[in-house]
Amino acid sequence: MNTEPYHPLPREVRSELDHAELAETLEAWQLSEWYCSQEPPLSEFRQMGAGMWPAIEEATRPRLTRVFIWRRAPRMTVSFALAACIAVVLAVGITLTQQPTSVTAPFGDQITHELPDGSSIVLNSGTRIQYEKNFGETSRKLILREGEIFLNVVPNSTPFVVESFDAYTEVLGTSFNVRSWPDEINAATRVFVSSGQVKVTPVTASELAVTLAAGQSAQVRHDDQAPLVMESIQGLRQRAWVDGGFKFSKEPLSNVVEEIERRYDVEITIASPALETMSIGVLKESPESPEEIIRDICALKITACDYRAVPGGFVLDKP
Amino acid sequence: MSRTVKPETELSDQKTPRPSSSTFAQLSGRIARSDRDAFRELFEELHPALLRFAWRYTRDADTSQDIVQDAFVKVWEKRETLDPRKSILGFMYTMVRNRALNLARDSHYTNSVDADEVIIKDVPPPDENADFAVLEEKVFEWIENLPKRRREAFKLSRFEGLTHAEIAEVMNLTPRTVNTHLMLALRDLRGKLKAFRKDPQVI
Repeated sequence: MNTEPYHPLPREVRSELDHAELAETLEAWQLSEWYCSQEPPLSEFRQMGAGMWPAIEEATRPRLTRVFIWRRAPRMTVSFALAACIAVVLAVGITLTQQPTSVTAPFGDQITHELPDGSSIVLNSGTRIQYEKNFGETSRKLILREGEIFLNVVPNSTPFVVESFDAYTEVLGTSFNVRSWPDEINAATRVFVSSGQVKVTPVTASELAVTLAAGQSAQVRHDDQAPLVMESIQGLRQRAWVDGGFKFSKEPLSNVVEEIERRYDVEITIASPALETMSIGVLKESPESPEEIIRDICALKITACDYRAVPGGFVLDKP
Repeated sequence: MSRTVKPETELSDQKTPRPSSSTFAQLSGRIARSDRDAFRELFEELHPALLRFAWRYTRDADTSQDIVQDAFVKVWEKRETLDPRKSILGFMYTMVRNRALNLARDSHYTNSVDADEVIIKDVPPPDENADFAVLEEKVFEWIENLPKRRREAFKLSRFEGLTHAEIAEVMNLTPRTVNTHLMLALRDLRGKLKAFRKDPQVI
């Protein structure tokens, strides 16, 4: 029943003990096992790590893939047209008024937008951004009202800054992802750097700024703490949406559901409040439909929920 | 909750030992040549123990997963510079330990609770074999009260099964000093045990 590996008393220690000491020491060695008696068994940790391999595999795949993705033309042809339309409307808007430029990606679509300095930006569904009409003249400041963007910044001497509700993300020619939905559970601004360097500063505490290198990501919570910096894996997931993927790890279920709603423009009701804060992971390379993701979520051991299709969306509930 | 103490020989029979260090040395060599199967084997072999090791610092499943994932990604990224004379176990445990300690120092992760607090509050329920329950608590206390470095060396040896050389790498010491830490820790524990056996009220 007990499958814990047992580690014997090291021979270096044995060799320094006389017979009586050895007997007592062996007893102490064995009894010390009780130190861990309140811990979960190793099998539980094996279970905890069951889902880790795909993420590790993804992060350690040959780098070529990552480079290749960035050089690729945007894949969304429909949304490209839409983006063009919006750009025209915006262009007219700018000349007619002196208002800041706003761009919003509709639910159910992602759009690619080119900034006046030549930098390109992909907006995830439901994302709102804004910038001054003189963008690029003396400064390059982009305000991320809510949502998630992937940026490919043209390098020049003017710093490029993304302002979100709790962080400033500053760049000097690079590609990176910023996710910032102020209303979601555990709201945070999350930045992932694909190439180059990025500086992330909490809005309320500029002295706690951190500089991120390629492959790193950082999270700013709405408080006075320094951003939490992590290596690659989380970040690779963060930018999966740009290629049509749907990937989250350890995200409250209601945040994931909101993302499905925006991405596919559907309405999903979580009937059981216990589900909302449950922390789940979803890894889909290219889901065909919202149902495909919801089916996966419901199949998770911890959620064990049912779903049913209703007009315009779905209902998630405990059986 | 009641347990009986068995002679070591019986214990080793019923428990599965970790693969030998030569197995890990082989895996390490294959990983250095970018063998993904070997990388996978290393993961399967080590991740539960590393997760638990991280969890012992963080007391948080999510943070532990992040730390261990990072460690595996790092070992792959650095595979070509792995020192074949050094144990890959030492390398992995070093990364997990340092990452966990850094996080604890910056105390960024919100779910973590002070490790001591959790366990000490979690007193085992009284049972018919009260002697064992008392001794169990005592053993915990004795280990917890060892000097910090001595305790760390002892735990790495006793609970992670690392060799002296591996512990030396993790703690940045010489194997000789590791042995001294261990000898002193064990001398302390067996002294406490002896005194307890004489008079359980004293200790």
